Amino acid sequence: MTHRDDKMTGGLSDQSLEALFAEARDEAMRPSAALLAAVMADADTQMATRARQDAARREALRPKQRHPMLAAMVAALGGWRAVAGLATAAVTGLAIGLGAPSTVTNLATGDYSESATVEMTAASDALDALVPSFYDLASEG
Amino acid sequence: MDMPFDALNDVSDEALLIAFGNGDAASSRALTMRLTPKVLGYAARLLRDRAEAEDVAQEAMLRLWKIAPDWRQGEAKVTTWLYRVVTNLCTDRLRKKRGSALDEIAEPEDDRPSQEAVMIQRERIDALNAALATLPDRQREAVVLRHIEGLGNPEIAEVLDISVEAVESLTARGKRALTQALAAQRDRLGFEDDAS
Repeated sequence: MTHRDDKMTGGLSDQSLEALFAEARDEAMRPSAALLAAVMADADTQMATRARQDAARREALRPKQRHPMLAAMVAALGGWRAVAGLATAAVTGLAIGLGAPSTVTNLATGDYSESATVEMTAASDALDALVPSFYDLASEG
Repeated sequence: MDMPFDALNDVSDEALLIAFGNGDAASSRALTMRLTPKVLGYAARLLRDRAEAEDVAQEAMLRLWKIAPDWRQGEAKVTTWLYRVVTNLCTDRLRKKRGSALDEIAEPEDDRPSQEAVMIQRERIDALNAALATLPDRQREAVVLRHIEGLGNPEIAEVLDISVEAVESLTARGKRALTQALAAQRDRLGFEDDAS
């Protein structure tokens, strides 16, 4: 290939330029081992960071763990459903205890006389008066 | 550096990137070996500074690792995306050192009388790189992508975010400018008696 015509036109010929491009293409730019190692290390770091972020995100989405002791107690009692039943029974028991001890006694002993009701009313204290009393209805059947 | 990444040679860049996004470390090695030379070569041609080109290559690859989990399949070629990132990173760096950069562009030394073919070739490539450096940024990017990296005009348009017609115009003007810039060195570069 000759390029004598280049001088005629004043510029480099397209062929010569194309040959130069080809030489540049063939000249492989070899990355240093240090660069390759750095790029791979970045990839590893990025992967580890992402794994940490994913774990944190999953942790945030999970329901909050209760105190270990409380959790153990709930588990021992048979889970939250059993605890809910227990709590309901406890509150009911408390209401009965506060509301009408004498009514309960009367119901238990089978003494349904009017005097018992009057006696209960007379004996009721201030705390007792705060609790709605529907045990009279219970005693009336 | 010899690495057993050949097993993944048939796997596309995109498939490897998605695998990496899903936590496959082997994919990152294959991508590193496959893409880093391209990224480095392109950056070096734009910057004409090996150390800076290595920085840019590492930064571009880091951005690739970061985007991997969010990569939208089929939207763009991985190499196109990378060339765009490298173009932007190089443009930023060139802008920062603009002014001094033009003064630093040295003409290839005249007194290097070597008959060794490899030296002549080195000299030619140096001359080409020096001539490329005299082009405006966009022209240089388009010419390098088209004639050295071997991209098609539509892909270059995507990399540079311009129309295909604009790419054609840039490469044509760039080539014209290159032939003029290299004309003065024609004899020294051995084109006169290149008898091959």
